[in-house]
Order: sequence, then structure tokens, then C-alpha cells
Amino acid sequence: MIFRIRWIAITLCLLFSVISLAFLEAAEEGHKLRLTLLTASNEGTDFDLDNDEYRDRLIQLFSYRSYKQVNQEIVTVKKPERQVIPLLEGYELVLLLQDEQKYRIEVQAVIMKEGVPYVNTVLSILEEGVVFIGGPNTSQGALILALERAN
Amino acid sequence: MSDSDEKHTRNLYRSFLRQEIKRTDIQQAKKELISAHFSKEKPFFLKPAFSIPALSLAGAVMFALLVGRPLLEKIPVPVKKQSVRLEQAAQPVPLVSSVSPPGAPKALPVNPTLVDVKWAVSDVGPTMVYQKHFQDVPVTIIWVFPREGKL
Amino acid sequence: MNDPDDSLVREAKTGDKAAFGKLVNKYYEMVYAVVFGVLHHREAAKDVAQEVFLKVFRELLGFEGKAKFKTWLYRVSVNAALDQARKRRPAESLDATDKSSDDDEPPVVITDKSPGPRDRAAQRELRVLLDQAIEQLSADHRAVLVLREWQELSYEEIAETLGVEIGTVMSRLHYARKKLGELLKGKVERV
Repeated sequence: MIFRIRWIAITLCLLFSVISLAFLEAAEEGHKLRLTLLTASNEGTDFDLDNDEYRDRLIQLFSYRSYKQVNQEIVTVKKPERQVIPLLEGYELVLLLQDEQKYRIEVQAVIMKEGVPYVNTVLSILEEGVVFIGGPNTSQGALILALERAN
Repeated sequence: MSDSDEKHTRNLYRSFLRQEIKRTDIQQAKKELISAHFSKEKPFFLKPAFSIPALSLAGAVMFALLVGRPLLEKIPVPVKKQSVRLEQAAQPVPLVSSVSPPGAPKALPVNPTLVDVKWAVSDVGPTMVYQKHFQDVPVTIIWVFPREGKL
Repeated sequence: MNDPDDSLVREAKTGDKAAFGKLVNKYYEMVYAVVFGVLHHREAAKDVAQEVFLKVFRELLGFEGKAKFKTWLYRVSVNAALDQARKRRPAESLDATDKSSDDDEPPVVITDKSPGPRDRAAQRELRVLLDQAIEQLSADHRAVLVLREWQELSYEEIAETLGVEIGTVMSRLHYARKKLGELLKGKVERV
């Protein structure tokens, strides 16, 4: 009987260790965001984008004729680090994870140039949400940033 | 106004404000502001990442010691097997209806907001936030309209 | 710049809410006094004080440290209070304080030396008089008054904070003091 209880206790301890490690790993991993940087203008009619879904949405949302993808990257946000991502022509994006819940994360996103916040926003993003932020003017057109969760 | 009158008025005014900030409801408002928005993060051992598996283990061990062990001790000695003779049912058993009672509420689909913009501000001009649905998937747009002479 | 709040501000900039909470704990009374000094309305002042701290926390990333944090804070406070005052329609009277709740509050302690003790009723009357006197001032006059008499700023600092000329600061302050003095004069002596 005692032998059986010992085995149950050992199994539970192992289970606890595995669960703890999984939780800790998840807590420390941070959250991945996909950033896609686009420029929009009325010069020509290019649709040079990796993501076709963006194409349809952009056409319906904005009145520009041309959309070009400048860059796309995956960024990991975790507390308390700030991520600073250079965009174009002196603009940069600062990301700061404010809060995290089971299916949502709360992220502060600031587009700045020379210390002046062009836009300063806090977003609560569910797993499949996408947000477009824009549009500082550059020599290549208006900047549009597409921000969404990445697995 | 003479200097002494000016000094007298100043002292009255400062006493008035000092009393105002010492009010209990003002001190309470201060505490509520800090606890609601700017409180300390929970220590690691109170965070779900640790507390859930720890409590699960504690519960399992308690169960094993307090309930499982006595139960094991109460298990009766197995009785010698006896042969069992199946008897044919005299009549077929009527089927029980499995239709749910009328008026039972249906589970409603849950449509959480995919992106919730908590706030958005800009130093260069007014900001607009709107959502548009694409095949029932909402896309959120944050757009800044810079004023003349600003970026 | 030697800012005593520099380390807390740096921590708060990384998103550390607890660090910002310490700044709130330190400066809440200052912010509330400035806001109440302008609005002269307790509930509105509490709301605006909360908004000020939430706004400052949001915009902390853009705070470059060219001025001290305390300076930036009271500037945001007075401007937020003035914005709130301007939103209220002129017809609405800013109901000063809830006088019925003053019964349990300690009386105004007058630091000025006067012969003889003052009883509780006399002190309450003085507070009411002061309320009425301040209420007769505009938000712009109250702003100058609180920055000079409470925050003890120089004329130049007040002018910079409010975005007005030094002459405007001086004339508004002179008017505010004169108005208060007129309304309180004689009544204080009588009480």
C-alpha cells in the first residue's frame, strides 16, 4: 500500500514539473507579431504584396492606386522590453507589451519620427485580429503598417 | 492692496487648498487610482504560471493522503466469483425519448471583438479609428491626418 | 538635468506600472491641488486628476526629459483643467464644494496670528466666504492664482506654462488677489 502511494506521489511530482515548465516556457516566450510595412501612392497601379488578403482589403479601405510591400518581419514582444523597429525615412515603430490574457494581448504601438509621436495607440488584439495604422508621408508614398498576431 | 493683506490672502488660500487635499475622499481617490491602474505586479508564486500547477499538485497530494489512502484501506476482500445466469427480458424495454424539452435556449455564437483600440492619439493631427468587415472578419484602421507644417 | 524622479521615470517608460504608481503616490496631491485650484469643483477635479495621470503614463514614451518630470506634470495638469473648464457651458455654475459634507471635516487652520481663539462656526464661515470668493474668478484667473500661490512658480514659469505673456500673468494675478482681498476684507476682521 505504502509502495503504491509512493509511486503516485512520484508520478504527481513529475507531472507537476512538466506542467510548470510548460507554463514557465509559455510565460517567458513572449508573443509574436507580424509587421508588414507598405507604401501607398497614386503613382502607377502596382500591387506588390506577399499577402493577397491585404490587397483586397486595401483596395476597399483606401483610395490609393498603388500598394508596395517594403518589409515584413516577425517581432516578439514580452515584458518589460521595448522593441524598436526602423520603418522608413526616419520613422520608427516602438512596441511595448502592456498586458497579456488567455487569448488577448495588449500592445502599445508608437510610430515616431525625431522624438515626435506620429501616432500613439494601445491595442488589445485577439488571436486573428489585424490592424492597419497609417499614414505618414514619405517620398515613396503614405506608410501603412499592418499589425497582426503571428503563430 | 497692502503687503500684509496680500500675505494674509495668500495664507488663507494655501490653508484652504491644504485642507482640501487632506480630505479622506481625496486620499481614497488616490489609493483607488494606484490600485486600479498602477499597482505592483504579483510575485511569481502568486501568478497563474506557478500557482495553478502548485495548487493542482497540492490538491492531488491532499486527495491521495486524505481520501485515497482511507479508500484503499476500505476496499473489501474480493468475494469468490460466482457464475451469473442471464435471463431473457420478458418484454422489450420501451425507448426513452431523447428530444430536449421545448423552449430550451440555444447556445448563442460568441463574436468577440478581434481588435479593440483602447486609445489612439497623435501629436501631428486628428486621429480616426474605424472598422470594416471583410467576409465577417473585421479589419481595424487607425489613421492620422497631419496638420499643415507637422511632419 | 538633475531630476530626482529620473530613475522612476526610466522604469515607468519600460511599462513598469508599479514604478509609475510611486510617482502617482508622490504627486497626486500636487496634481489634485492644481486641478482643483483651476476648476474649483471637487468631483470634476478628481476625474481630471485621474485623466492626467493616465495621459502622462500613456505619453511617457514621448517625454524626453528636457524639463523635470514634476514640471511636465503640473503643466499637463493645469492645461487639462483649463480644457475641462472651457468645455463646461458658461451658464453652468461651478458648484464649489459640497458644503453639507464639510461638517465632519477639520476646520480651516489660519496660520495668521490673530488675537483670541476662533470657534468652529466662524472657521466654517470663513471657508464658505473663501469658496464664494474663488468661485467668482474665471478659470484663467484661478489658474494663475494656483500656480503662483500654491506651486510658487515665477512669472516666467507661469507664462510659459499657460502660453501667455508675462504681462498677462501679472495682470491676472493682480486682479485675482484684489478680488479675493475685497471679498474677504472686513468679513475676516468681523469673524
